[in-house]
Amino acid sequence: MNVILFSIIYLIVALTIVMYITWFERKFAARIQNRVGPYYVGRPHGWLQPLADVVKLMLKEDIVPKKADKTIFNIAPPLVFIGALLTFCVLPVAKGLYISDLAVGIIYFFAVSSLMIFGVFLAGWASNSKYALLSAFRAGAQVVSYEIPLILSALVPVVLAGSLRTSEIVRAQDIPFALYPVFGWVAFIIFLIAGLAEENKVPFDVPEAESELVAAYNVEYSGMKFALFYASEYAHILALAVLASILFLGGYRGFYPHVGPEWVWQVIWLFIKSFFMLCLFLLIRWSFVRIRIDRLLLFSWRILFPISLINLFLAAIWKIFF
Amino acid sequence: MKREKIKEELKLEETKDGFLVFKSSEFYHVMERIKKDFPYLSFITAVHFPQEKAFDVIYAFRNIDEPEIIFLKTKIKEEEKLPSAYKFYKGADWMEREIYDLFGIEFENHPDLRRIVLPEDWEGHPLRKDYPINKAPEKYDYRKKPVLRRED
Amino acid sequence: MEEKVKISEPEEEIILNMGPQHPSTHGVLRIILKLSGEKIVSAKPDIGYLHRGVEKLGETVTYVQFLPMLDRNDYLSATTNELGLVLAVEKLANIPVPERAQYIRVLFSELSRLASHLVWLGTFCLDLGGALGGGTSVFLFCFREREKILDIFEKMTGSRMHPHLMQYGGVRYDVYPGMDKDVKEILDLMEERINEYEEMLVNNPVFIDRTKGVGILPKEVAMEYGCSGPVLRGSGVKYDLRKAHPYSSYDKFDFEIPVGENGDVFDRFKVRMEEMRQSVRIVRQALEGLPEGPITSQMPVKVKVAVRTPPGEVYTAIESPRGELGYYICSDGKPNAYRLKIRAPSFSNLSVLPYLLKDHLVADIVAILGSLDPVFGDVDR
Repeated sequence: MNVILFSIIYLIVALTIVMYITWFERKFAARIQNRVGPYYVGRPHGWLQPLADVVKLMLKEDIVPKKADKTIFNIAPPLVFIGALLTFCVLPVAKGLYISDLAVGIIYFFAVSSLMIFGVFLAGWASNSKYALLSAFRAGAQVVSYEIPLILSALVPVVLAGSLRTSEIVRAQDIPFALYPVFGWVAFIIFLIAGLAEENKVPFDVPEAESELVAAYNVEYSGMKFALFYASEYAHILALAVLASILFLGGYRGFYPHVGPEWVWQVIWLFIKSFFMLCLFLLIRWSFVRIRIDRLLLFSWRILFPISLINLFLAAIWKIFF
Repeated sequence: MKREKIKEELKLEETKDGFLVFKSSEFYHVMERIKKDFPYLSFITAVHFPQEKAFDVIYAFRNIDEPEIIFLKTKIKEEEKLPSAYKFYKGADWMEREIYDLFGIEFENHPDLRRIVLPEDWEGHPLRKDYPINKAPEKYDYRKKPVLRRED
Repeated sequence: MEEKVKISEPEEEIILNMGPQHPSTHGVLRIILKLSGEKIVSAKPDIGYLHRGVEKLGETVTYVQFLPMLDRNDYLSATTNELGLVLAVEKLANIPVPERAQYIRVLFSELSRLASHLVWLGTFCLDLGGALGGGTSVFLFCFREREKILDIFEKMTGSRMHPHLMQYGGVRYDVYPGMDKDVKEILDLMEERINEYEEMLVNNPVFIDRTKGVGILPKEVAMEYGCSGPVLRGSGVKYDLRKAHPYSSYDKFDFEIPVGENGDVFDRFKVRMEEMRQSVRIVRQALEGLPEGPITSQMPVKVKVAVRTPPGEVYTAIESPRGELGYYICSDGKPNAYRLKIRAPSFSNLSVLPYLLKDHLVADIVAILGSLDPVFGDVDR
């Protein structure tokens, strides 16, 4: 019972944060571009803008194209959303504060986040639109290419920590901000790049390339179905940012004064680290132009894949001998 | 001046505004000669003269190396066809399509002579002088005519 | 990283209908693409969605009435549109133009060239980067500067986009007091910002990757298709009507014609960036050398038939931001033209699109189309 209550609270908090990530991104981008960003809804900083967006999307007409494959068309958005939400299960926010501490936590994370690509692919196929179809092809190719360096780089901390459990990995990073050997930092950079690509974010947003493919796999979706795609995208960003801080930045560990309950400080530390990762993602996103699909795939297979493989191998040797 | 040279070589007449007049039957011969010195096709256009039932078709070419422009003009009857300049200048493709669209002059050996700015089912050629300009346009009924057409 | 990924040839080709409502077709272009996977087998542009019959209008209304309509043609650089027709009519009717008016014309042509190229740079990067990404940043930066230039237009003529500055025989408005200070402020800012943008983009490996070697247009093809302006110069042809056939006392100004080498998207980008710098130079010279005197040789009369031309034919062309903008007038002595042909630069530049797009990837469409910089008011007329 306790677990269920906790997971409900956990998800609600996570989704609220996801909502406010959209607000934060808009403000962040606006500052880069000498704009103000959301302003009027919830003056003076547009605090209520995400809520207004949700209400707007809920009230919108739900359009299903006449020739779309209706069942699959309707299944796809929840599938993506569930995939994004399930990843939070294995992410501990403080010592002992997690929904489930699976023995295969990291593998579980990537397994369920791969569910998202099924949703994207189904959405692209079922929309009966050529833009969506092309985008689904691209998304498939991209995720297949970038999942491998992503997982290989995530395996480096796993090897060094000696466990697939997320809590174990955090515990292994005795000193805050993880003093991994150099392999850890190489893996971190690869994780960052591959994570951005996983995200379908600029500069790797080829499946979403709205200047080429309009709006890609979600071009035919409207209303809440679109909102599900949108929310799951940001939820996945959050999940990845949290995972990155758990794997590489020491998770919820940090310096804290011994005042108040310990878990509060741990949550704050995790929040700060994840927030830092998030800002890194956003900064890259708002300052680059898009890479072409063929260069994108080549980059993964010719550069990221070998480096991450060698890196993992060296990390394993280091682990055995030192 | 290459223009004077061409004028003498092809024995072209000159109008008072400096347009060289050639016969449409000599089209290929003239174009071949022009292409040598004037590799840049600037524009092709036409003027309609309803009283004479004739068109003036005007070609303008440029010489890039020595800044120079040459205007050629040919007169054709309304029902006459003109050879296409596409063989010599690829840019003639769209320019001739535009003339075909707006004047109804047909070009022989054009690779793809379709209307370009007006819809394919448009009636008449608007830049002709006998095109009625005060007529109210017909209301388009999408139930009678298909809105979309499938290409190829 | 040099060669492209070899995507095995699928048996079926997809026909993709890109546009006319599409975020990156710069207006209302429709391209019928035949795709083999991501590769373009053939592309057929379909234009005419913005056809307003401007040439027919030019035959039915008088010269005086027609002039403001031209602002709507190539709406990104309205002054150059007017300048073309004004020059044609003046040449046909032998109307003298005072030197001060000629300088003001040059000044505002170059200002609108700056504004137009800023819009081009912004939209080009927007196409490359996407509406939710780095491209938007450049887009908004460019529009910030453009707005300052449009403010000058507004102060001078009362209108930002459609100034209707030209008049047969001169210009309608004299410079307002304190304009040189305003303009100089913008020029100083622009010089700084152009360098900033170029640095930002040229040093970006992703941008170079997207533009270098993409959409190569050889010299000969560019000439055959009648491409002009930055598209022609990007292919390495040193041809600028301002130098080749100087009009409106452009021969008194000192500026250079930038040319590209390979004729790819990147070269066209470089040419336009350099052109902006040259425009700044010209505007500076025009401001410093602005002669005293009347701004028009004809008093502004509020009569529709104030201008008549003798029978005859004339063609004048000017260098608009997009290329050779020419007006052919066939007159029969009436206050309106018997036939008025607008030689639109965008039309010819766009006609090379099927040639350029062949064998490129879908992602390159936006880069190539953006580098041609068509304005659909100008293409469709």
